[in-house]
Amino acid sequence: LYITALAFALLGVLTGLTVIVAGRALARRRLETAPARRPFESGSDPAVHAWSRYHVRFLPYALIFILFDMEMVFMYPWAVVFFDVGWKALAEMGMFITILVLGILYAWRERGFDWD
Amino acid sequence: MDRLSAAARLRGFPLVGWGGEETWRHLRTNGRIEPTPAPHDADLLVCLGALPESWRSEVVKLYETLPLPRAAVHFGDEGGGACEGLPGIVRATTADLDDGLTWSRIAAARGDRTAANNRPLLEDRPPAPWRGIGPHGQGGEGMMGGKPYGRPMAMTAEDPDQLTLDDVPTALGPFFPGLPSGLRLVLQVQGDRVRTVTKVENRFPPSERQPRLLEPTLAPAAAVLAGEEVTIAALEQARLRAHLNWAANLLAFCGLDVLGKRFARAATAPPDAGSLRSLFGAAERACLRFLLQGVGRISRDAAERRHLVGPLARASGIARDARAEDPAYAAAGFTCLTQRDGDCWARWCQRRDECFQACALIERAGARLATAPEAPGGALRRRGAGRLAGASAANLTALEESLPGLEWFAAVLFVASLGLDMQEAALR
Repeated sequence: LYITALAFALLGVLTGLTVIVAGRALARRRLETAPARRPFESGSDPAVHAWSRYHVRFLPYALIFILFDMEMVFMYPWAVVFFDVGWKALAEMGMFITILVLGILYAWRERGFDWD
Repeated sequence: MDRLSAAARLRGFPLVGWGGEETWRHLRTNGRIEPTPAPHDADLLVCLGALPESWRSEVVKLYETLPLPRAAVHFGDEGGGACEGLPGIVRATTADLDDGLTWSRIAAARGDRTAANNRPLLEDRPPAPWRGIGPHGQGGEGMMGGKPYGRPMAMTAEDPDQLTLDDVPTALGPFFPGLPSGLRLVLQVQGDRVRTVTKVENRFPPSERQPRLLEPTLAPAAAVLAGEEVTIAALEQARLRAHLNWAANLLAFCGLDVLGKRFARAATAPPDAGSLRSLFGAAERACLRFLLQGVGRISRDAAERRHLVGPLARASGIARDARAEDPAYAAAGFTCLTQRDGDCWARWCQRRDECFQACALIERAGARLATAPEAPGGALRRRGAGRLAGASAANLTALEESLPGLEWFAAVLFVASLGLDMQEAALR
């Protein structure tokens, strides 16, 4: 067991090293001077510092996605017992999904799916 | 490794100067160069035509950001202007574009790692050094004061959602690939939305050059205005070519590069309505309408107020076309085509319909002599002392009114959809 673990660790280290060495060998070299690191900005010099705060306009969209994505978790145990419980399980899941669909329709009406 | 690298297709970043647009179109379609969106990914700085002298410091700064090995090439029939001082620059005329020897010279210049072109050109000094003052090393008092790395923090302004957000001055151009070379806009951007336009600048200095020497698609209309005999076929072929090149550029912006290349190749082929219909059909099946509809709307009132001309005005519903007053065009059954919505999709439909119309006019009355100086972008007019002026100067005014409120992608797409030519706009 220890030998297998050691072999895997060695393989992992070797893979990592290979990627690093190959990357260094194959990548194109850049000048390390400050003018060579200048951002492109379509040909103009940057006027202000890069730190800036902006509104994440797609936040409601992202939250709704996570919310409904999490509901999927309840479907895994349901799928396990579905054949044992039968029609009763189907009806219960139907009710659950209906409630979810009402939620989706409400979010849609409130323009929750607009990217802005 | 060097041999493998030499065999690969070169990635080039273009700098388009006076009369260089046509050369760049040729290089893109002949497959010698793959365009890159930034010089940081390029093998080659491709200088086309004569670059204005005022661009010199920007040209050197851009060249310095190219990774090694690198080279610069100038294609043009006159001096390179601002690119002349670049070390080891390969000079070639437009006749050498497909000459294998030119490309061997470029590969040799790039491959010589000890040559001056692969050594630093500029002094290694940070443009905005770290100040290290203040509680966070930000260079001043509080989070908003001072100049971290020598640059000030962006000030804040209220956004349409009544939030106070950073208002970042952001430059678009003058070397944004795909947008008109020389056009520099300074936009105040909040997140990904343009709040306002603070500057519209043409980096081409005023010039007395002749438009026909700058852009071949302008030549027939310029000849009409000069009193020369020009056929409807010559005028309409130029229009067809310009519209197809415009469509190729817009498709590349939409991520449809392969279709764009097909349009660019069609622009150099003889006019054929059947193949154009299938080409436009292929583009429109690729969700183009979804991308363009509702973007960058210019209302009819705004177009009237701003005195817009050409297909840009016609896409907003203004039936203004010099060909409508030409008896030769009237005899050929010409009618002024317009659209209604004035958005990017309407501009696409307008140019598409004008392409089909051009094919029909060439077939019906190609040999007749025309008197209408309607260039592809709009009517050419005389500006005293025999000088000609084009439509781009008039259409530039659309930017300030229509850009605010657009998201970044829509803003860039909108500018590309206007079909501006900054060289034409600089003519005096």
